[in-house]
Amino acid sequence: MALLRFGFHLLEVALTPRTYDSATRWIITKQIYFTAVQALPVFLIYSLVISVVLIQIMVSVARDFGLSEYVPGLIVGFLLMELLPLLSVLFVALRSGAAINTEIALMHVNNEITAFEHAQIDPARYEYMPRVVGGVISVLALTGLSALSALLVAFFVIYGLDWSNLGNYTHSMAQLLPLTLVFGLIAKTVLYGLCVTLIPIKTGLEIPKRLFLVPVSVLKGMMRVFFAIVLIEVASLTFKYM
Amino acid sequence: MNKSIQFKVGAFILAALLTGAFSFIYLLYERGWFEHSLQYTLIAPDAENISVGMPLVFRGIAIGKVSSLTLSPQGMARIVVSVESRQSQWLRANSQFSLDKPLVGAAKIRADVSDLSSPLLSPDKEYPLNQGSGDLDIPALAAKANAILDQLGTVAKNVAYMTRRDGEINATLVNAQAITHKMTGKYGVAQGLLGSEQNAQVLMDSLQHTRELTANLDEMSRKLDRTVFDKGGLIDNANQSVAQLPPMLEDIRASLKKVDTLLVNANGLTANLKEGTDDMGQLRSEVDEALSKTNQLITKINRFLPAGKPGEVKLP
Amino acid sequence: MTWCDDEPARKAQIRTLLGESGYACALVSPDMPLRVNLTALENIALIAQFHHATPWQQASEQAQTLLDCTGHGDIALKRDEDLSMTQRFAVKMARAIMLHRALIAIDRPALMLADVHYPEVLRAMLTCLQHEYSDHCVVDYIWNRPVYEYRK
Repeated sequence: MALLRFGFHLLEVALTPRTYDSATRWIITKQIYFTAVQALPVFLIYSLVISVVLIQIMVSVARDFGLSEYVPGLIVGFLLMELLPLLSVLFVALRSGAAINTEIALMHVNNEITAFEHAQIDPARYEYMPRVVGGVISVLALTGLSALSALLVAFFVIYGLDWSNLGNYTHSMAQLLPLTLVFGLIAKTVLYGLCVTLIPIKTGLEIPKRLFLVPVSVLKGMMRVFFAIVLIEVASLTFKYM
Repeated sequence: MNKSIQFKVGAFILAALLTGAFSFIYLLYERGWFEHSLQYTLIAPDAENISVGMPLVFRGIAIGKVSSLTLSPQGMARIVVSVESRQSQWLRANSQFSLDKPLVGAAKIRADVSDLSSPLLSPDKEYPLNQGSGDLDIPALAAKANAILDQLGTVAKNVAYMTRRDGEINATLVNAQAITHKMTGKYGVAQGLLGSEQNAQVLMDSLQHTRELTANLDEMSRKLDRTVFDKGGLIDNANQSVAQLPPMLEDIRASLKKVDTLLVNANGLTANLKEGTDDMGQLRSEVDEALSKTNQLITKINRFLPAGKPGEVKLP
Repeated sequence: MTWCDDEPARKAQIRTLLGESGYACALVSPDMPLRVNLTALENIALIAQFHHATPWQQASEQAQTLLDCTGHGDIALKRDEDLSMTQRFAVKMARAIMLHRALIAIDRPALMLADVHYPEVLRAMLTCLQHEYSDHCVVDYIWNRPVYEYRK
């Protein structure tokens, strides 16, 4: 509940045009750089490898059992809708979520936030919101780009290097992706992005100002992030198949 | 501030946005959002089993879907179907629209066209929707089908009984073989035993017919199996024909029983040829009668089985 | 100069200086650390960027001018942990000046300038910055008074 209020406050901040002064713009740029751009090459390679292996397995198993017609559905329903978003959110949670939690907890313990408040600098505007924006953009971009690359990989695995099938392939894939599904995926990814940034920030701010509680705050935050991810995944599956 | 970070972030956001927007627009394009769609109006007595979004299928491929359901001024159900413009060429003025509600799976509207050279379907006119078997009572039908299958099982059992290893037919054939072995001339011993060439011919004919009948029955049971639950098969075809099947199958069973007893007789006959010669005339007539009756039934059933060719059973 | 007898008295004094709003004076205090992941220049310029929506170019120039005044212009791109105590104090002073409040309260300079003879350093820094701010006051404990009177 408190988390919701916190998230709502940040949304309010994010939607105020006054927020985007030069300092905030710069820190948003930095956050996007550190959470998304820096992570992108590594994550793309990693998701490509997983996609190639999984699609290869799906295609060969389906051929053995004569179920080839289910492969595109499986790629879309399992890889695109579930696995890749989950992998990218786990990646961002482990990479940036933990970092955000530690940094905010240290800032909090070290009185840096008090100093900001004394200078009448809103930490929500300068410190929290840019991290949330960076996290959401990062999860969205990583999921989107890995999904597109997985679709491309699937084409090569299924059809080889024969480009003449591309039109046919994209058409049949497009038929498997109704807009509601695409919007559902975007909504889920945005939720993931929010939960891997909001929860660590909130948990980092919750601890008493004791340095030895910083690791405790990080482990608590990571546990909450994990439960939130599982909850969102289960909720989305329930919503989809009910 | 670091220019390289700014540049990288800018490039990243731009590339991600462009890729995202391009994929999204391409998806919309592939899903036909930029297609001009044509609206056709169908009229049906009621819109039961029809819902918005139900596909319009041509040759098994969805080419459009129901976009709205309203009432016409005459109190009929007005079904508006939207069809992508590139698919509208498959709908012609003489197209037949029917509600297709399979035993399992979602219902759909089927468009059939017999002549693809006739003029295109006009979006301004209204066309009737043939609801046909749309109100088919599926549980009742399934119960009937079960009854038929039970009877078929009995028939099959009878056939199996008749053709079993030491069964009458086999015994008859073995005996007949033994007899023919003994016969040296055209009708050889049989001719001598049975008195005349004609009598011997009668026995041969009877055996031949029995064999034919068994083959026919076998084929028929296979065909029934295949067609009863097949698409466009018995169930789709008609209620009343299904209703007629059970008594017919009952008849078949009665006839088969008769054949059975006849064959028992024939067995005894061939085993004791000498004593059986008197009954040869009676045997012939009885076998013939049973055969003709069965064959009539087979022809009748064949007429109801849509996938099959009309009855080809030749009577003696 | 404000002399306090003990910690509660000092805290009460600081509260009085901060006023009801809490923003009546700009505090230079060991309890108000610099943001550690920003450079010295960014820490100072942030105030102007945030409060007056000043573009970075202008804000950083202002900050650089202030740092030059303190005689520590070369530390602009260093972060908190790379600064010496005197340098860190100079950055805090510059940051407080950027707030443009009526009073700058310097809380326990002894704690922020432990390695130097701080009354002298403090006096020197306040002299070179005197055109940049309106007024200041130093809050310290009474037992440190002799340190201020000591002359080499």
